[in-house]
Amino acid sequence: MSIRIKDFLEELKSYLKLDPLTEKQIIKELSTYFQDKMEEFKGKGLSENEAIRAAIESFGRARNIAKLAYQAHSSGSFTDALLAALPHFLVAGLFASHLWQNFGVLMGMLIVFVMVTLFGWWIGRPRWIYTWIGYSLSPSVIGTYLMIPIFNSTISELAHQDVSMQKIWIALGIFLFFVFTVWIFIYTIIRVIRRDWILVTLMLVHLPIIGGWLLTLEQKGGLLNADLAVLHFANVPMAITLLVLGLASASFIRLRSRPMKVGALMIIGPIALSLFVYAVIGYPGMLRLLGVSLLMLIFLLAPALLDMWLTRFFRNRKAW
Amino acid sequence: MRGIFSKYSPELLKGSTYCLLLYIIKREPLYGYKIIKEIERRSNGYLKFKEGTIYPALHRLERDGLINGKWENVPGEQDKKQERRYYYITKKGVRALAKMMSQWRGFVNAVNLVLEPSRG
Repeated sequence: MSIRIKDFLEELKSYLKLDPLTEKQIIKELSTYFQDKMEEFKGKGLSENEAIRAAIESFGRARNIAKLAYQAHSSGSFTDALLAALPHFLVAGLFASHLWQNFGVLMGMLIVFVMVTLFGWWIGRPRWIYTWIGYSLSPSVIGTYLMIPIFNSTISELAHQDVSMQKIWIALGIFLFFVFTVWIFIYTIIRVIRRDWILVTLMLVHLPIIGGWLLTLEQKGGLLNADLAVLHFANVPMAITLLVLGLASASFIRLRSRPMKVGALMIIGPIALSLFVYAVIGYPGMLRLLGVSLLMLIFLLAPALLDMWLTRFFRNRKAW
Repeated sequence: MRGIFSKYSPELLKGSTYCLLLYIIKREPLYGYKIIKEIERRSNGYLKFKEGTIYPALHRLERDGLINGKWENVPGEQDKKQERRYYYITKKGVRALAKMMSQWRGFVNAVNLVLEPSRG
């Protein structure tokens, strides 16, 4: 097949943003079309170059065809939608039942998230996997947040000549955990963003909510230091907010049009965070509420900016 | 006038694409390129698509369970085997086609009644 047609199909593929197996099947089928079309034009006496130009011309614009193909393939089944919403619902259940304070249940759920994520990754990253990946990453973020004060105090003690092997090991262990968290985040985000930046948004949409929850708990003494009974006040708002995110994720999977998918997350995400803030601390004033929504929107759009930057950065590298 | 017609005529084609595809596939299982050629041939070259749009339309029919796609080998240049994705109509597709054709006939009748009342 000619390089120009290969380039055309590559361009089309770059607009598809579907799962790798579907993309492969589509490109394979379209390349058979070009084989037949080239033969047809050559049979009519056109030169190789003329046949290529005519075949591409009669096919239509890559972006338009990719958009139609995306619409034909992007909508998931109800099962996909339910599976995508399930992690949000499970964690909402943990908050509603106050079971998030039970370490055994928490670990059990984390194991389930990680196992489902690994399974989904192994079978080719189906469309429902991204929320599971997001929740599998969450403990490392929360862990990092909780360990920062311990790390700071350990380093401070070591700096003040209070050196012991135990403290060195603690500091080293926490440092390695930080490195691991950063690595796993960067690795996952880059792998997912190569498919579509909006999937990174879908994957991480709950993190600002969890961040907001942790900051709220700080006012009551913090997750590790406060009396657990005091921390119950945020359970119901968290459960409701996560239910809303679950519904947003399910809608995302079911919707066909990409702008609608983006819109669903960009609208529901800020509303969910604002609702949480309103439910936990009361009405903070219109300006603050708008500020919170704007911050959430920036967070949700950050993958798009990262994608633009990465695409530019790797434009000249074949590996991207 | 021709400009105005060519602006609106793609909408007519768009509305009948799925019906045309199902009909062609029902007559004989074919692959994308052959389906395009068959529609062109049967319409004496009147119905012309941007050919790339046929594939998403086929995929949409397949997603809705109206047709099934299957990779099959066909003889190619110098007897080398080439794979092509053949589409087969399903039972659901046959039922949908019957409905579409009846809707199409109703639509054509209604349009004729408006445009050519003397015929009615």
